[in-house]
Amino acid sequence: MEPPAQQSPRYWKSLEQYEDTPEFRQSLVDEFTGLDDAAPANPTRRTFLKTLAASAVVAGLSGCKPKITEQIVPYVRQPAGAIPGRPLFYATTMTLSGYAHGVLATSREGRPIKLEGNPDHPATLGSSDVFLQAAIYDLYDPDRSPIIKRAGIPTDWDSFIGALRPRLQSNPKIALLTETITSPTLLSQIAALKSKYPETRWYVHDPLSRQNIQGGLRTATGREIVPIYDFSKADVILSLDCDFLGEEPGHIRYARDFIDRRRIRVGTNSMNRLYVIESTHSITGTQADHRWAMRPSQIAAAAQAISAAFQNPASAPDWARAIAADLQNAPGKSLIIAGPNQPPAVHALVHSLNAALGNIGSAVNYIPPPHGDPDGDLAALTAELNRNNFDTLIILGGNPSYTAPIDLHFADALESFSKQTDRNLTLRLGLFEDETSFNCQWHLPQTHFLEEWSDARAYDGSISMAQPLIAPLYEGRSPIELLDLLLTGTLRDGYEITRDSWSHQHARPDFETLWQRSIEKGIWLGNFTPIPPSPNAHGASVGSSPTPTGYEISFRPDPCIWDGSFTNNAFLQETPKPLTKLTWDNAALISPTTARDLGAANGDILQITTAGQTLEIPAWILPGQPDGAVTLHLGYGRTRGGKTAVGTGFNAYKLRTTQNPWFATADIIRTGATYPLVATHTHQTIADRQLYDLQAQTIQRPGEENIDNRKLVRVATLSQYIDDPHFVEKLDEDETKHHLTLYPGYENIYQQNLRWGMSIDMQSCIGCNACVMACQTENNSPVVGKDQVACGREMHWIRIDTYFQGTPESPSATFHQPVPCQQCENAPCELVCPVGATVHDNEGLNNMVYNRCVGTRYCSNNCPYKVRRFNFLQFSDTETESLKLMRNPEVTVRSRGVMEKCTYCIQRITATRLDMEITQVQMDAQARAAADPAAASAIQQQSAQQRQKLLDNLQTACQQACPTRAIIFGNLNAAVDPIHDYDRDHLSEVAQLKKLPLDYSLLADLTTQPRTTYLARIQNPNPALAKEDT
Amino acid sequence: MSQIFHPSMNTIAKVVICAGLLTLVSLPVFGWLIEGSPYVTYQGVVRDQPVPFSHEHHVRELGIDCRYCHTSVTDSTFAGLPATKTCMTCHSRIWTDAPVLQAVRQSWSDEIPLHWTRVHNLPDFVYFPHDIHVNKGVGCITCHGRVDQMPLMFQNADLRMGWCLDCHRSPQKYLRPREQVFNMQYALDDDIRAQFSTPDHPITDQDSLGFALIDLYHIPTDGRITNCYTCHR
Repeated sequence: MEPPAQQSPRYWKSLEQYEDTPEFRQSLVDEFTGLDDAAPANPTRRTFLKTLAASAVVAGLSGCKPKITEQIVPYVRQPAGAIPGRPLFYATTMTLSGYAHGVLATSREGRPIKLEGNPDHPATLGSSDVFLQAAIYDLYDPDRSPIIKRAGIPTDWDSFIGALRPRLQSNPKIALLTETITSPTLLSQIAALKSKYPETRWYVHDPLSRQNIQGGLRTATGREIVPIYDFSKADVILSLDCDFLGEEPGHIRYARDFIDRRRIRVGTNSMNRLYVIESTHSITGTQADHRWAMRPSQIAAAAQAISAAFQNPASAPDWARAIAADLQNAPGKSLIIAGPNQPPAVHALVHSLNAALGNIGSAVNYIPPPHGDPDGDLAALTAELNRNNFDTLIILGGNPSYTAPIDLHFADALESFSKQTDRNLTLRLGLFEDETSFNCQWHLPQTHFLEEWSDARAYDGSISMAQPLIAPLYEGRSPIELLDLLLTGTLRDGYEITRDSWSHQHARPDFETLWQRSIEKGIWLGNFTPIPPSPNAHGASVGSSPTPTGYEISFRPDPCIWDGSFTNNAFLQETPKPLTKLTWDNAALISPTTARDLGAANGDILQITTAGQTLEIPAWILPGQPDGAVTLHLGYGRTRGGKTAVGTGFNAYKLRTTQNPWFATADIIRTGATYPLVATHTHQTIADRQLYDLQAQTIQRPGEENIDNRKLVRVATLSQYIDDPHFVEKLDEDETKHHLTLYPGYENIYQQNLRWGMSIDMQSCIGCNACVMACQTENNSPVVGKDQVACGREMHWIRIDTYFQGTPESPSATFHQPVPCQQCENAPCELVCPVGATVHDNEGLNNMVYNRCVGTRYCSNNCPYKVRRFNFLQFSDTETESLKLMRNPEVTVRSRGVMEKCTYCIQRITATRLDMEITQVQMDAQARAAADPAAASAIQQQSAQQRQKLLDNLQTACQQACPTRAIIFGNLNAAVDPIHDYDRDHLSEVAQLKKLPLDYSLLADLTTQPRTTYLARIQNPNPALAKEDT
Repeated sequence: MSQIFHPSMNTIAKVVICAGLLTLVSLPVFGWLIEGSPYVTYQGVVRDQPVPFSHEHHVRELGIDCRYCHTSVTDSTFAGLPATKTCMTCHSRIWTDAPVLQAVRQSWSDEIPLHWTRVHNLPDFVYFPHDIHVNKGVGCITCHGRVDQMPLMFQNADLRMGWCLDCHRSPQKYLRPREQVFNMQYALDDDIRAQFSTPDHPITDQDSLGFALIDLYHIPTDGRITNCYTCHR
């Protein structure tokens, strides 16, 4: 990969763009690929006419559809509070690796259709992540296991209970295997189970175990504690391979607090500083002011070096000295954080450094572990199973046959244990019939979290309540109900069980009111006494840094499908992963230098061998990876568990051992075979058409300014910004010169109406994909599949463009830019539509009218931002019954041949506008009926306030989901027309943001005057490291 | 060589050519007529229902207000159909044995909802909110016709886009005072003239009342309510 000296752009979205290959240029011109295969090559006149005639006939036939008679099915008894046609909102709880995220679920006529963060919940504060947004798909997933099975044969609960009862009566030796459990009800049930059946043992296997952290702190303090972080109190942060924005249990809250200390607004000229030392390029790394990519084996050494620099700065390397000095300059206001993959020794060291810096009690706090204390881990269980020390094995959730360390041979142990049918009973409660179910005698369908009563604890220990939004779609039962079955021998309702459990925790007369309020809020408000951790039983904390020989592997959860919990979630499979933009697969992520050493290009299959295990997996070159290190994302390469899961990606668990769960050293060779990986990093590239004009065979490059994407990405350091707050405008002199318009009369109309606009903060965007997923679930966007993504036909209305700065070998910074429809006031798409299917409205929105669209795609061709998406095929699944329930009834499900794009969530705008107008008319009538003018005026005042509140509460789906509030949407007009005569002094948040000097438009010189504008990114590098910046 | 065709063939040829041209012209016209006919629009077509519910009886003869059954019409986009319980408030006491009400009683005892056939069915890409219309002075009968004179329910208007736009372009032709929205016998009378007349703006006819109500109810006249996104999304 020879960098074309002096010609490379300053910011680049893909290596192809950096290298500026002829293929890349061609791809900019060929917007609609994949059509060549469909059209006959060199058609004769006859073929052409035949095709034409056939098309005409088929088009005519498509108009002949049977008349559909629709039905209206009212209630038998209408529930109190339910207004048909109005959504209802309920607080509930989702868990990710055991830890609670508060959810606010939208229910339409009894169907949950959208999940948001619960604003009252400390772990979410109203925002969400990609998993929370996509969880709705899991509920309606057509591959979910619907029915109880014994040895693969459908049966029913009665026969299961019939098989279970005699066993429970004969002093069973039960082994219980779960993932991390924080639910107080489940934990008390497990304790009860152990006292009822004294030979019961509880084992936990979590592929993303956090035992190293607890183990390190145990060594350092002698206590059973886990850390929680308060980023709002940290001025200087050092992350040692910790992706706290994407992988920590409190990552949504952490992202909010971290970014809140980074915003530059009027009157704030300070921000926090983040140092990241990491073994893979994570989204946390993209936020760093200084980032070092290090091989896994070097990270513990780096921690040691920084620690040494505290004692003896003189002998420390420059970078360690600078970090140490910076941390020491912020005593009590700094934070050092290490990832769960780091060995316990590093966590012990981090604790002592944080203690020395006075951070404990400030940015770091320790709490007793919210998760329960098991009797052992999977290795212990496997040994017991092999010795036949149990006769009953119950597996709740998880998927241990797939996620177990390879050297345990757990699946074999489980299978041979299960095969002794006369002696042993094995059962598995799971959402899907997967690898583990296959190894068990019984598979019991599990309820989705939206179908069950439950509870869980969040990262900070607070207790979340979960209530069902819908009765179980299938024959599922919750873990709480199953454990209760073991305890009582009968199937009771989860509501009763959960309520009983909490009435014991809070045995007071006010329990009933408190229970109601807790369920409503989604948070337990009463008394709670946790089960104390037992001093003898600890999960093994294993893992050490690899010895630096050969290539090093780092295992990480996949940023989209996590540890494999979401492998069958098509929404998540198709979400382009942060940084790599890969979809539908994982890959061995390697640096450009490593790729050159291996002679590997994207998609070349690498054979990775470690500890006698071999995995063949295609390579993907990710700038910012440490040289000589490979990142493997977990969760792919499934053999069972759904049509979507099977056949995607490669199973990294095959290389994971008990001793080395996070890192390993490996031999890597290129096999010579290739695999088609599909990524979207080259799709929808915003290109300067003049410069990429293929007709002009020689490309003119008048100066670096024009080809470096500088108009798209605008960045400065904090000191540069303080010197010149208006640097953004100077990067683009044209911007102020061109305020030409084709519709001079429109300005008047815009001022008379609500004027929608959006501000996207490049400083705040962490590239987490929550907005992409929120948009997809809100707007009924379809999934298209890997082959269609390969043709550039993904249907996301908002994409996150990731730009790298510097060279591919060592990119100096990375920027995320979410790009929805820019809602141009002078929209180029509108001018070219032959049927008026995309037109402007009085509030400045670019309306896309599906029923008018005939699919010429001229609009997309003419869109400089490449935000329009076309339904090349019937992508929306209108056949599968369960998926019909998932759709948002306020948004049209688009058909084949129709163009679509971001609407600023017009359904939410319309709902708000109508409510505002109804409020106005109703309160006007009250005012007219009022006794005296003073009373009338008071009512008018109240009316204005109510309408303003409605307007302030209006959020687009992406805005609502964003954990860092990077997207702000609202009305730009300060004073609004007499129709909406409310507080004229009130300036919305978005209007204020657009007045900041950081505000800029993409491609402003095209005079499109977009309503979506961006705020420039400010970085805060340490002056002492300026020269050494990598 | 003799003529192949008899001279009379000229006439036939002319007729065929003319008929062909006429067919070409009339086909689109015919299509347009079909498109607007009750065959496609269901205008005026009585639909089969599980219970032969008579609006005429309940509304005109008994005087039950629209909102007694269509409870959410002022608060929601969907007007709402009555729960079986609403029917049973009366019919657990009167006509308790009537054979036509068998389906209602069945629904009540089995807890299985009634399945009504939708009479006013808009395409899925059209979003019609009831609440804003009834709150801003569009009467029920403006769209639904004299429901109080319908023994069995049918669709009064053709519900095509031109019909919607007629009102959205000139709302003054149809607006009535909010208090009169549910009034089936509404007519512009002296009381209303007196109520809405001002010295500058005397109410003489529907148009002058309509313009007064446009001001009073803040109905946009700048074309906003004919924007595509008003109804399509």
